[in-house]
Amino acid sequence: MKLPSHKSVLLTGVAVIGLLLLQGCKPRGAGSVAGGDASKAYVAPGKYDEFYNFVSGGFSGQMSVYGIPSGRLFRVIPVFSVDPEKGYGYSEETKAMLNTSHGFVPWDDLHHPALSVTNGEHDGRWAFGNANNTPRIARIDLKTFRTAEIIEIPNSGGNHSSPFITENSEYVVAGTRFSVPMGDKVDVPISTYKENFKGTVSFISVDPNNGGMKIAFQIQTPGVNYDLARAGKGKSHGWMFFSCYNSEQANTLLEVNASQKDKDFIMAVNWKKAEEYVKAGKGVKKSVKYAHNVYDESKHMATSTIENEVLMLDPKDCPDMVYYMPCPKSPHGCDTDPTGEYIVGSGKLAAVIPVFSFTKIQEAIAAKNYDGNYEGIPVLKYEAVLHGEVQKPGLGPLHTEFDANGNAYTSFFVSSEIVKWNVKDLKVLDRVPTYYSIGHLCVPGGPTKKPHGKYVIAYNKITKDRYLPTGPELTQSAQLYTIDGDKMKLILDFPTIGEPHYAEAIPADLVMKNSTKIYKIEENKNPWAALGDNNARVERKGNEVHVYMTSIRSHFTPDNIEGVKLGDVVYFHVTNLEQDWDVPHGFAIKGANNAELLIMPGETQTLAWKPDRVGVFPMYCTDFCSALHQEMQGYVRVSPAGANVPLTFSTGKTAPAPGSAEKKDTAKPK
Amino acid sequence: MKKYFNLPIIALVLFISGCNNEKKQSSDSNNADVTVTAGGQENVKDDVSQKDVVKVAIGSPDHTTLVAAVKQAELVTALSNAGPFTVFAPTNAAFDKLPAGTVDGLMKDDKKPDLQDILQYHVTTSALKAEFFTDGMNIGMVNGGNVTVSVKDGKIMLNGTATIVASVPASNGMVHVIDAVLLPRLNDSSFVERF
Amino acid sequence: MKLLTISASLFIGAALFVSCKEGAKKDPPPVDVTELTKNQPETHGTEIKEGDINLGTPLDQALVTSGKATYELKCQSCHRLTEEKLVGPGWKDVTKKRQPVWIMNMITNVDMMLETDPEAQKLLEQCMVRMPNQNINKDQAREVIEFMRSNDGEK
Repeated sequence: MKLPSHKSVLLTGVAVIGLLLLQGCKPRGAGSVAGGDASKAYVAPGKYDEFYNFVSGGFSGQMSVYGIPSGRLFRVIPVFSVDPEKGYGYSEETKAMLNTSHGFVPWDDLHHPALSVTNGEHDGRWAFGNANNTPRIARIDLKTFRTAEIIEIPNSGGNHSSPFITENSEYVVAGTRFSVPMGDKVDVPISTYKENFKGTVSFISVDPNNGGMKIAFQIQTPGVNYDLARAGKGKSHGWMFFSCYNSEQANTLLEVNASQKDKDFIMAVNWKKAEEYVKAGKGVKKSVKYAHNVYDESKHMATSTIENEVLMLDPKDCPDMVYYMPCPKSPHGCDTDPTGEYIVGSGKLAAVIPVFSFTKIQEAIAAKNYDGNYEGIPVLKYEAVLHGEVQKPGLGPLHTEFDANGNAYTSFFVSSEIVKWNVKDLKVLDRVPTYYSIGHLCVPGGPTKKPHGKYVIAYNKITKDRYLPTGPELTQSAQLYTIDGDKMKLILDFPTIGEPHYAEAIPADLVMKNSTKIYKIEENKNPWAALGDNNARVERKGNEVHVYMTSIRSHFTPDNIEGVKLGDVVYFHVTNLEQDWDVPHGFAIKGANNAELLIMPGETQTLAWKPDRVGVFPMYCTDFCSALHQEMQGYVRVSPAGANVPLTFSTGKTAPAPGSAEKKDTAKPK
Repeated sequence: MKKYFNLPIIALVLFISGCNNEKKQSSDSNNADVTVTAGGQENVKDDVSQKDVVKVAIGSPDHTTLVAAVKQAELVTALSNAGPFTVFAPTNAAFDKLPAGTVDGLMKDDKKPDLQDILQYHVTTSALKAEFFTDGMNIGMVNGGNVTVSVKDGKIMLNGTATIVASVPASNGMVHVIDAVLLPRLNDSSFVERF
Repeated sequence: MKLLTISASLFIGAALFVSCKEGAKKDPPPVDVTELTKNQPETHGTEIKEGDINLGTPLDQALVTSGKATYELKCQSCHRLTEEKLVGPGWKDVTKKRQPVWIMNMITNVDMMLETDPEAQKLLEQCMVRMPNQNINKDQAREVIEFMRSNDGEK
């Protein structure tokens, strides 16, 4: 009797399972959006992505690393902002990285990554990033995915057109987004902008062996706003192009006042010529303070040096070094194509995209085909240097990337789309909406001589209704499109940290083969390292207590510490003795006013702690390291200031007999 | 400052725009068969935020011609984006002042580029409050043309032909209601005669 | 009847799965991790054979000294020189209980040992913590053996 009903249940079950399976087949929702291409963004569990995507974190101050095409987030590299998760800017070893001429600055706004190149192609060695607010450039070592060096840019009010890199990583650059008064006369009325404010562009040399940065020279320019930049390549190698707006030299309500002229400029700098002038002694040493911070990988420690002067070149003394090219309506992006022949200017408010020809620029310079000058700097005739204009491309062009087939991809903020066009004939080939309000975009290898193509990634400012809502602030996002066909196809949305501005993508195999797994403990030169348990100890120096501690799965040595007194500052110098990949240990102690430490295998890091009350304070490992991670803990006893508790430390000592030792060292404040 | 806040208009906008959202396309995330929504942010369901420039215009009974034209010119998506925009919004009466047949001619599909040109001549990408306008000021418009401002006795005129009669703030910019249609100088006086 | 239904449903399910897989088969080209990571400073032990090891008497004091240094840097946190078990077993008499080849494999290639060697697996059950790879190469492991012999009273 029951059999039929069983059967029907069974059959229904089968049907349900079948349906589930069928649904599982279909990438949810995306199938219809992407016409079945969503699977192209699928990277199976355990498989690697094709590209690393280094994405600026914007106002988070950090740089994030995603996989393409999956959009999976791998790492957030702390750069210009403190990161309590990694102890960056909190550990004694890393604090110096964030030192500036203004003192310790715990935050900044990172807008643009630039990956190192050799012969105009990615070499996978370093990523550079700019600090927009307190002008700096950082170098990240792609072996460790850590910030290795930060140099402050003096004589600059804000560093936006940065760090764009030259063809062989000779230089990264920094142009003043804010021109400011500089030198001896800086206390001036803001309304004297035209008279007293100056811009600079800085060329920061990169040591080809170790990446070390140094400000080679600065060029003083009229006071305008430099926005973005790109190096020439191939035939235009040796030149750098900076877009600039506010040629009106307004100092207030730029929204209106910096949009008065039909054309602003792209500034072309012949930096090889500048090098000659430097050699010829045309530079003037200017006294100015700026910080230069370097992280020493063997000491696991940063040092900050305050530098005192820069070499300044004045175009007045250095003819043929700097030219302005008129460019319509507040140019933003200023991008050179893979051949180096074409420079694409994107006027935020322009109705066309002008494309300049490097060959014509050279001809115009040779023929002195000028349209007057701007504060003494020759202005080349627009028509003379123009290759052509892309007509009616869209609204609000911002940035352009390139593929290997002679196509350009321009982002349009106002009309919220990516437009593909041909660089030579300037014809629009395809357009695709972004959701919503795209800023930068990225083609893997797009700024190099050999773009890898395949995808274009949009970085959007607004995501209203694209994701589950999270209150007034929604995630910012990236959108991945395939570009290997004639039509761009959207295949993936993925959220990003902070606010993404520019990003670069690089083939995985250029980076992953160099990735550091451990720091060799034998090579640990940190002066506070405890290399082995025989060196684990606690020492008092006045009111400083130094704990030289080791950590290994799953205990600290020492893990019981007594004799700390109120008013002491305790420095925990924790050395991770592990020599196994992906086994960091963490360290945290109750009530610490800073953060945790996260110590990589073979590394030493130091946390300063000022106990605020008498008692016994737990400390523990914060990184789940083993099955006995919860056992990885200890105690610090803090006694009153005048107590006579001796400084002792131990690991693995059994408890004293009840009542015996306890009586002996009961704290007795004097 | 009377011109700046036209309360009846704002009230109307607020009142009418409440009825604005019924045409939303379904984009429920649990429906796997949803096709990609045409357009952009204009489809975002949001009855709480301040209205954007498009919704301000849609909410005004004096701007039905402009709204129809913006739709025909496929500018709804762009104008629903972050901007910021300043839109000079000619009233229905302003469009009526054009020679007979001009508007109907512009609304034809084959005249879409001309319509876009005209409408983009009414938009600039910054949010300009009425008090920002100064006599002799030049404003670069989205179509590439310029509009010249004159300010006399508190009266703001554009290109010497259109007067700002009201100003309404929007979430992504400003809408200034004007009493005449601005014609792109690029095409000069012959522009209208082509229809 | 029932069986038939079940197997039929399984079959359908399997068929769907298969078609599923084919539909989604768009993995990027596989990356050879071994190839990419072979230039790393980290040392992966290779299986050490009995014949690879020569023990001599008297002890080579140079080896004892460097073995002791490695012990203090990389082993001492978990292994005492007495019989006391800390995280791992104490080292007293280890050279009398274990073959040198076993010890050296345990030091240089703990993953292989924990996978294949019953004695190693027994120790993991007792100690509850996988012995970490401490990046010790074959020569260093040989030095540690010499130090262990010295610790066990050999001369």
